[in-house]
Order: sequence, then C-alpha cells, then structure tokens
Amino acid sequence: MSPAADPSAAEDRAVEAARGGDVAAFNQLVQQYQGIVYNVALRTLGNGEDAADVAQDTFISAFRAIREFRGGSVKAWLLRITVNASYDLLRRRKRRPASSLDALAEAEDGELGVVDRTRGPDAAALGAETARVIQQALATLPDEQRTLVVLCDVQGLSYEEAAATAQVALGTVKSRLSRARARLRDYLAERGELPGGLRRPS
Amino acid sequence: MGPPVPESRTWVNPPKHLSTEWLSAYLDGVISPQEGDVPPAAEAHLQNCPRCADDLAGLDAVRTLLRRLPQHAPPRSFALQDIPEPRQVGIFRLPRMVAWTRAASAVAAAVFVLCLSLDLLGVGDDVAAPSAVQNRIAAPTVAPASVKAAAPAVAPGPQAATAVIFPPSVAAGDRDRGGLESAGSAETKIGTLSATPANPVADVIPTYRPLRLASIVAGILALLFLSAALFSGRRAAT
Repeated sequence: MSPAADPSAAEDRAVEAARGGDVAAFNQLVQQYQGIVYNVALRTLGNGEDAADVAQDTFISAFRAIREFRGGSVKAWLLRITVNASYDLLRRRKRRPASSLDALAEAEDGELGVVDRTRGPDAAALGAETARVIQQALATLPDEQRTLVVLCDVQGLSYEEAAATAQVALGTVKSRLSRARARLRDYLAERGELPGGLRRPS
Repeated sequence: MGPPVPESRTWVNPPKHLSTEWLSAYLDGVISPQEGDVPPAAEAHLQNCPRCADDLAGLDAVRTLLRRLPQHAPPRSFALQDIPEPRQVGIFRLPRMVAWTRAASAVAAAVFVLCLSLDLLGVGDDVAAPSAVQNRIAAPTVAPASVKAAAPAVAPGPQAATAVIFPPSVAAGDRDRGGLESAGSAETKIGTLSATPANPVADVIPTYRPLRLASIVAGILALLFLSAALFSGRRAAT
C-alpha cells in the first residue's frame, strides 16, 4: 500500500504538520471528524446549538493542545475533549434552572437541519417519533452511562476506542454499557417502543 | 481490566441466570476466556432459559434502535479559519506573542536579579572606584544628604545599597584631600544629574554604576514584557 492511500499515515502527517502550526493540515482532521464530534455532543447534550458550540470548542482546544497529543487514536483524543467539554456544559447548565437536555427530542423532526442518513453504523435510520423517544430515554441516563452508550451503540466505537475516549478500563466500559442498555430497554419497553414482551422479568 | 465487580459475573445466583453484563458483552462478541465461563455452557443455557433469552433479545433490540438513530449533519464547518479574527494580530499570532513576551519577561527578570545582586555584593565597586573616589571625598556629614538626593533620581535602587558608596572609612581617609570643596561639587553633580542627564560634565557619569543602571533597565523591561504577556494572554484566552 502506498503511503498516500493509507488513511492513518495521512492522519499522522496531518497531526505532524498541525503540531508545527499548520492550520490547513489540522483542518483535514476537522473535516474528517467534525461529523462524529458534533453528533456525540448532540446526543450527550440533546441540543443542536450547544452541540455546535462544544464541537467548535473541541477543535479549538485540540489545535492548541496538539503538542500534548501523545499518539494513538486521533478520534478517541478528539472525542475525549468533546465528552469533557460536554460535561462542563452540563454542569454549567445544572446551575441554571431550565434544562434543555431533551430539546433535541422535540427537534428530532428535522428542525436541526439535514439528517445525514449515510453516516452511522446502520444506514436505515429510525422514524422521527422513535428517535424522539430514544433521545428522551438517553436524557434520563447518568452522564457516564450515556457517554458509553452514545460512543459504542450510536457511533459504533469498539470497546477499546470507547475505553480510550472515556479514559476508563475495558471492564468499566462493559458494565456501564450493559447498565445503560438495560435502563434504556426498560424505559423504551414501558413506552411500547420495543417488540412485544422484551422486558427483563422482575 | 479492573477487579471483578459482582455484576460482571457470568451467572447470577440465585436463581442461576446469566448476568445482564455478560449478556451485553456476549451481544457485542467481546466475551473472553477470562470471563469465568466458557461460551458453550452459557449458550446451552440461553437455549433453555426463556428469561435469559428474553434478556438478551431486549438488549439486542435496544442496541439495534440506538444504531439506527439518525446522524445529524453539522450545522456549519468547524474548520479553524472560522475562528473570529481577533485571534490574529497582524503578523504576530497571539499564541506566539504570548510565548515570546513571557520568555522575554523571564529573561529580563533574571537579568534584573543578577545585576542587582552583583551590585549589592559590590562587584561593580572595582570598576566604578577610580572616579567614584572623587564622590567619596564627601564628608560623612554631607553623605546622608547626597544619598537622599540621589535615591529618588536613581529610582528603584534600595537606599541601603546607595549608602555603600560612602563607606565612612574611605570618606574619612580622603578627607585631607580637601573635603569641603569636593563635598560641594558632589552635591552639585547629583543635582545637575537629576535635572539634566545630558550634562557634559564628564566625571558625573560614573556616579551611575553600570550594574545598577543595568538592573534598573532590566527591571523596567521585565515589568513591560510581563504586562504585555498578561495582556496578550488574556486576548488569546477569549
């Protein structure tokens, strides 16, 4: 394989150039990852405006801190910044009375603009009503569980990538993900969004 | 991998069922031999236990729904030329300016401390001595007045250090060289200096010893660079 055809080699070169202050090279990384960064923030925060702010902050912080990037997965590094910035925003939001964590649920019909159906693990996207209920369900999860379910199930990251992003052990990914899925299952089954009878017997 | 937590067990007892965590990991195909149970036994159980089969099916249904959540297109590009312009000041990029002003203020501060301590230790005395002697002729009675006059003109120099110029022994030893006349001229010199530094009187210059002058300049530069660094740092942070 020639170096030009290897995406990870191209990524390494972009990181190296960005370290030297090359904004254009860094923007190749922005181009590549802005979709997943925005969508992780969107599912974490439930609000398109906040997600766009967090995504922009993510890339500004990343460019400033690129010298501290120690190699490894650029995606996990960027998403780690995204998740931390989202947590910061959630904490600030908790101090304010009004919560907009499920604003996305109301806006799921397309107010957020184009729904990009070509991305994501499963191209056959859900109907707006189901997507709305799922976003509401995500909003009920504890932050650390929501993060892992967003990374692994919504964005299709491997356990290893999710562990690197959330900076937790693989075992923690496994247990938080299973608890998040179980909670979502109960929430969705109560609202008739799961195929009949799919609830853990009590 | 961390220490096993109760829920990470394959089997939940009693009754004997597969744990949700095991089923969730099984769904993702990440069950490893270290999990404490061999998949064949668990798979055999899944065949025969409706409760565990339902549990697994529920998790699978949730995962399928989550995977099918729509991905939204970003509302705009987050490429960095979209950063508001104030981050760029002419050819000086702010982060770089923060860096060099910080470095410059650190260097100036170091020079300030070095020069001042050398000066206080009296290293410069040898250099300044030949011409300074003329000032030292000042009688002890006149000396304090000269010090007072000199101190404000020299600015941040500590008064104690300035007094070193007039060691009583030296002043006393030189007294027989016509203390009165020299004392008068020393006072005039200091007076003229503070008023007009460009005074052509040649032997006035050594009154300012190079080390002290250097420490004053370095101190001022350190303060200037520090305020520039703080200012640009704040601009860069916003």
